[in-house]
Amino acid sequence: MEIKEHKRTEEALRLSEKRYRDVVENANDAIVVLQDGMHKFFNHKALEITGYSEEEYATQPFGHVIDPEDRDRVFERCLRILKGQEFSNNYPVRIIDKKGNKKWLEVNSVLINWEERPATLNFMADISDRKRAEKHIQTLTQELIKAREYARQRISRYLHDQVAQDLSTVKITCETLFDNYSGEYDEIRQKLSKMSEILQGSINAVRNLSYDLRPPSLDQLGLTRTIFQYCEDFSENNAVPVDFYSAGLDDVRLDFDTEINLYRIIQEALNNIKKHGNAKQVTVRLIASFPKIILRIEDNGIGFDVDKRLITALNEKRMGLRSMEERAILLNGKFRIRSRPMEGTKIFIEVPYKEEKNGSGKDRTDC
Amino acid sequence: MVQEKTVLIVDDHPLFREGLKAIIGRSDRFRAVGEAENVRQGLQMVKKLKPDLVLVDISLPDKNGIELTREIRTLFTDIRVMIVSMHSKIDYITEAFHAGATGYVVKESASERLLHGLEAVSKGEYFLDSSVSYQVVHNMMKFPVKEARITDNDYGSLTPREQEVMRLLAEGSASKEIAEKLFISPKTVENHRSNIMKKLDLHSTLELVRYATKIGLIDLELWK
Repeated sequence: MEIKEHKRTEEALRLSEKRYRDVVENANDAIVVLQDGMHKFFNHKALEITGYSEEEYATQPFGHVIDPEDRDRVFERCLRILKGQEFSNNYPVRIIDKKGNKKWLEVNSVLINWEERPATLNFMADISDRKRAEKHIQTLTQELIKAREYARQRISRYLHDQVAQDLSTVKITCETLFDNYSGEYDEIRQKLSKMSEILQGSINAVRNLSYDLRPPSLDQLGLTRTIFQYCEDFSENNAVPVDFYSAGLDDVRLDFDTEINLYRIIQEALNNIKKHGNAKQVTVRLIASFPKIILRIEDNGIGFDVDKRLITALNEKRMGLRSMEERAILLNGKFRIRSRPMEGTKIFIEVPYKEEKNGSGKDRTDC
Repeated sequence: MVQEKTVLIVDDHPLFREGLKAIIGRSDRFRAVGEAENVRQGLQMVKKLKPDLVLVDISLPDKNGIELTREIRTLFTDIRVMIVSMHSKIDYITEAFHAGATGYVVKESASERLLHGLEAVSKGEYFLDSSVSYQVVHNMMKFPVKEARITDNDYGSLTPREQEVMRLLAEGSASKEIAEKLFISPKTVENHRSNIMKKLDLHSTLELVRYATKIGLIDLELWK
């Protein structure tokens, strides 16, 4: 009787274990228990992702699998979890599989008891494809920004050096057409004078468009003077005082991409402030802090909820905040924004200090 | 009878040169004696013809007209140069005058103002097209007042390394940490620190932090 009972319990246990086994083995995530730096328990998916055999995986320290660049970060996090100090999830980690390929995993960990001692139970999803897609999108976005910038430059130059030039030639020709005729051509003269007025309007329009597309003084006066001028013009046109301060950047010529993108970020930020900010005061500060450059744009406007703004902007296909961020990333820099309703907005950008390449100076003076 | 002044035209647009010639032809005080379509040719003609005045376009196919102006003014101090350009921004105007031009007219106002300009420039006066002079004066009026605010000379005198140390100090790092981070000795860090304090006229860490906050190196409120 007792034996029968025992057998039933054993059978139940076996069944239950099999059920758990099935769940674990068929899970789409790698499931790994880590203790003393070793893989104490793992499912088949863990082997599939890392490419190791069961024996290899069980006998080598888990640190071996982690990308050396992430190792310290991962160890620290493990310690914090073991001490019960960390609960953050969806944690990205890079690993190197047996063949030497880099993979991105997203890790969720919890503290458990394993054989009477603390350990971590980790669920890991292979997100390499998603990361690759993200990287791809980012590359495309940046190429888009660059392409747009070059297109603007070309259009701007063409408008200024060709279209406006030709219009002026036509204008002066109109105005001197009858210089050598003495006869009475009043009617024609009047028409010509009308034409020349219209031409003047077109010349002004084309020129303004060209200057809007590309700040012409960037080449001649450099970044700080150009930004200063832009802030001044902005203050005057929009009745919002903009104070610009720079430190350590006089007489420094930065690489062209750095200059144009910092300039565009400021333009974008000020336009945002104009549109939504209700600011009474804006401060723009540009500071050389080798090996970085810091840009801070702060206003005392009504502020906004950054996440909500990003979503509405996405829905309305507006790119303001995103494009500032993309430009910062394009320069290998950082972008941070803090804004709270009624407390104004602070934008912080940090990009590498990159001086103008030798010899490229010549190409820029295109007057 | 007043002596006729000779004028050389340097512009790469033939039809525009025709227009300029026609305008010059309206006055009996000036005579167009030659034309060139680039800097190289312009310089040759200046040497050959020794005109009293040269009208120079800024955008030219080989070099730019500002460089031509500089060369003419260096070689022949008595030849006057007036720019006739499409550019209407203050920076080009300033450059042109720096290079030695004494007159500036934007292309589309040529028929109205060229002769006034030639008149003034040939007398040794300066001439600035009234369609751009508003902008120039406007800029002059505000630059001296505000320019002081856009820059901080003391900070600009820091070397790149000192800038690096300055930020770490302002963020609250100890000399030892800075030394480790920058792979230099703590003694070198101390040297940089005392140089920074001297250059910026600061006397305590508190003052340094305050200074760093003011110029925007750090933000005490939200970010380091």
